[in-house]
Amino acid sequence: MEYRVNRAAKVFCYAVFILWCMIVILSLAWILLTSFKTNKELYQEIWKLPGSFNLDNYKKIWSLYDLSAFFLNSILVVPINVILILVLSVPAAFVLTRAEFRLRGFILSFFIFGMGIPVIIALFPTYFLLSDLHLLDSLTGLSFVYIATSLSFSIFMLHGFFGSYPVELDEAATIDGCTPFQSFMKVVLPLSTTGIITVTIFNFIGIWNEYMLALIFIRDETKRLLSVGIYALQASMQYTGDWVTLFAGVVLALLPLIVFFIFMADRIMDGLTVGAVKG
Amino acid sequence: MSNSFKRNKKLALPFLLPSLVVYILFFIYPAVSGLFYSFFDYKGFTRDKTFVGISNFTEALSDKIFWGALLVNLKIMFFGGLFIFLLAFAFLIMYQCIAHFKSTFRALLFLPNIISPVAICILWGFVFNQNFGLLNNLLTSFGLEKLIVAWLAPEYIMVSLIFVIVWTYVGFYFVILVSGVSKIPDSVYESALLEGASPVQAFFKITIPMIWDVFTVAVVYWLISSLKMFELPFSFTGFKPRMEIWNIPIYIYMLGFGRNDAIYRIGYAAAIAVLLSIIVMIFVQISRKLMTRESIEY
Amino acid sequence: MKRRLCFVLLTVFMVIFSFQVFAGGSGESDENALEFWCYWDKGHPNDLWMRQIIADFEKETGIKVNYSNPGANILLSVAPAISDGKAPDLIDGHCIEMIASLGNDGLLLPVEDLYKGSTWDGSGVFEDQFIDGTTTQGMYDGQRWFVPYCAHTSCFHYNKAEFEKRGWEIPETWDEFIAMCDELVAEGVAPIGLDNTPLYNAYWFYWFMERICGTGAFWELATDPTGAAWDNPDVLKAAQMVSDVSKYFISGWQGNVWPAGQIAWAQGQAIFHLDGSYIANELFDKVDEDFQFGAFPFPAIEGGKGDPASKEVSVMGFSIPKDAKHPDLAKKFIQFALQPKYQIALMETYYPTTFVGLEDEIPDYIKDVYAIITSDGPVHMMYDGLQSLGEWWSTVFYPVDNDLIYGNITPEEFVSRLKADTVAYLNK
Repeated sequence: MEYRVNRAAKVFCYAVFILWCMIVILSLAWILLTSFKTNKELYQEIWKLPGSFNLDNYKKIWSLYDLSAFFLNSILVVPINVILILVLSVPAAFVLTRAEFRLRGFILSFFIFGMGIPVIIALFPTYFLLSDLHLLDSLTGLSFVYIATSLSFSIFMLHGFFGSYPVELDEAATIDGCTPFQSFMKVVLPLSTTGIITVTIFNFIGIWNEYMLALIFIRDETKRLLSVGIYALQASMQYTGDWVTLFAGVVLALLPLIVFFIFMADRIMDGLTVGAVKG
Repeated sequence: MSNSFKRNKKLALPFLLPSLVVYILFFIYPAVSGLFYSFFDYKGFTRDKTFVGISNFTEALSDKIFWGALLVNLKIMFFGGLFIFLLAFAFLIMYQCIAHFKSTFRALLFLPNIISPVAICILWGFVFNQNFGLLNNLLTSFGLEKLIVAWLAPEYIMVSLIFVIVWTYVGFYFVILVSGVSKIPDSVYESALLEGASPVQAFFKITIPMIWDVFTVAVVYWLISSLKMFELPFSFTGFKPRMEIWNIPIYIYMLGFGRNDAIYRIGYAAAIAVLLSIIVMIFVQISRKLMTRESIEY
Repeated sequence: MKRRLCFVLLTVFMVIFSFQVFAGGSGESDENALEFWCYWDKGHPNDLWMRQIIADFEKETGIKVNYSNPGANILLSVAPAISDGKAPDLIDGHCIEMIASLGNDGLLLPVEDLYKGSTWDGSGVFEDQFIDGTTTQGMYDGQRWFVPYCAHTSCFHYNKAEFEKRGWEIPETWDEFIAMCDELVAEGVAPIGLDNTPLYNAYWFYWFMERICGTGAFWELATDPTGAAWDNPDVLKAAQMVSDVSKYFISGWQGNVWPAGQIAWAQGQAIFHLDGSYIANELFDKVDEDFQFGAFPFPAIEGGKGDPASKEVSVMGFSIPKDAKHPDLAKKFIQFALQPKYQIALMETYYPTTFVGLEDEIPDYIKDVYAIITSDGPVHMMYDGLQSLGEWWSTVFYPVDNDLIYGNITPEEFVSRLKADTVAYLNK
């Protein structure tokens, strides 16, 4: 859907977007180009193009970090977590938004309450809990923590999306003879695609980048997540002032997210079309 | 309340129970026990805790650094939020005026959100540098030498920090608002535009009311995430945050878990975390009260 | 159809892989292995150094080492583990951080027997290998619990080429130093380059206190509940000197976010840089070929009561938690790791050694620093050890110190505010 506006206004809109996007692209380009520099080049002329595109920084990372193994762990753990978060939060958000029962407001507030608590304050008790459950040093335990800490935000977000389409749709489904569960599956879910995708993206990025809990709860090197690898890389390169390798690491960490994001951006467009047809 | 809402009641228990169990066991239970430390003197290296009643709380209320950190939080929340939402809405109107490259623009606007905050901070640290920074070079080439300052000096650092926060997060809120707009049926707009409404009128008469719920979600999410913001301000001044930009999460970290000159007062850190949670809840409740309205008619 | 097949295959793969990855909770596979948690993040040059030592150790002794890298936030990982009775056998890091976290509560194992025992090759006494004053910083109940593997100091760094150009000698006194600064100002070059961070800003007052009032005076300021220590006119003099020296800082230094100030210094935009001896490690691959790292100790101050030969030594090294399951293995490993060949290997990345008698092996970049660390004279800790009083240090001292160095308050206000704040803090 778009407004019909005159040419000058259109040009202006494009200009603003292009300008802003240029700033974003330039900053990414700077990070990318710097990752091909040597530290000396960086220190001598921060804004200059690299003299040559050498891949030494990438080779260094490749030899120092087992990033491909970390990547495999992340690519497995993160989607499973995100799916489980959806499986738990979508139904919960649905009844919290579109059902009437006692304690509804209280439970909703109870979930929102969790968003106010800084996760770091739960660090020690979570450690003791996982230790008691023999879930330390296990990705299962870490996943439970990720899922639990993501539920608040996801339910809250979905609550906003579920709340914003008309009640009549539910009613129509009811008249068609759907059970509540069927109308949830057939009416509500398809209509909420954008909301669900938005929540998926945010959870994916959030868990993909989380490193503090992963660092503390997982000791075994074979179970390390990519975020922890990238964090270690950043910390050690920052400590030695090896900025160019740090930027190479940032680029490597960004690539899968950008690929994911481009893929999901397409899904969003799909979601839009579905919404438009049904709406 | 509608009938379907009553009928959905059956679903409440099976739909809620799994979430509640996981949420309570793996988050609320440890978080609440963590917050309980606020009544103790606790260093964290043994399980020994000394009960101190509410003295951690009374101490926090007379702690200058706590109030300073809260002020930093509020500045980020208010000014950052103001600019983020003004910009996000401006982008939204413009987004509806263009036909091409929409998903590219949206993706690029969102992109800073997925770059590591450490990298963002190093980049902007170089941009804002007094001597070799890009910004001051730019000002010089436009003949605006008068405006040249040390952008990361104590007087200006909040301005720079808020700028970087806005730059980073505006795309996030823009994407949320776009996903709200996307579910408005085209027919609604078309009839309005046929009646001769300008984009700005259509924006206020249709877009805003139609995405109000999503907007509420975005505002509440901003309130919470701005009050809890940690990584970006933490990395903003190098390997150790300068005190001018200590916000409450940074202060909590410094008190309980920091390094180099760590304090190891987990009990006190927990007391401040309790206060932070209360502050967050107050803002969330106020904004939800202010922003709730009757459901919309299509 | 094809898509469905792909989907099924993918699911099967993920399920199988999941079992492998999610299979949890083991970790304690080898009961007889040495559990070592390292301060250095994975990939740091010192992590690689440590991995080499471990590989050699495993080969030579047949003892397995479970090595992991919690990294610079190591104590955040150690704290819950120790509380939970799952202490690692060996940890490492900055001595001052260990003092504040575990050492002062007696949670680290005394290692006097290790010090009194022999070196790994049996040719001498273990403790004789170390530079004086590097082994005694971590003490509890009269016993040492810390074994250093690296010793740092803070001092002025400079590019020797800049001195040669001007025919300068190393300044012995503060007046000589200031005269050089004035010359530079006249020349149009910034004398002192620095980054604005509380940790570095605190160097100035600390060093002035050290030279004017002597070791221990700064510590007394922080721990005197009556506040009378602040009334000493020499304290005001130290504050006055902080205020005075700040006019020689590179312009816009308040806006320098680390490493911007370092970069400016390395590029020759400023001549002096007061910083820790790790500067060569941070900059060795970034400076021009003709850049020659030089260092000189903080100059003496006329009329100062402090010993002008007093040197700062801060150490990094190993400790064994009291509840470690394999303390003997840990001691064995420490004995193994502290051999001269590994100290020489450490210096490849320009971290100064903690051993005596390695003069011939020192790389040029850290020769001056090593000379300061091994010079005759009493030893004092970085910031007089005040980092171990973390709360006073970062919540009482830092804010006022920053105000002084920014020029927001006068030296008199600095003294009166810190006196009042310290008294209030200590009587809380």
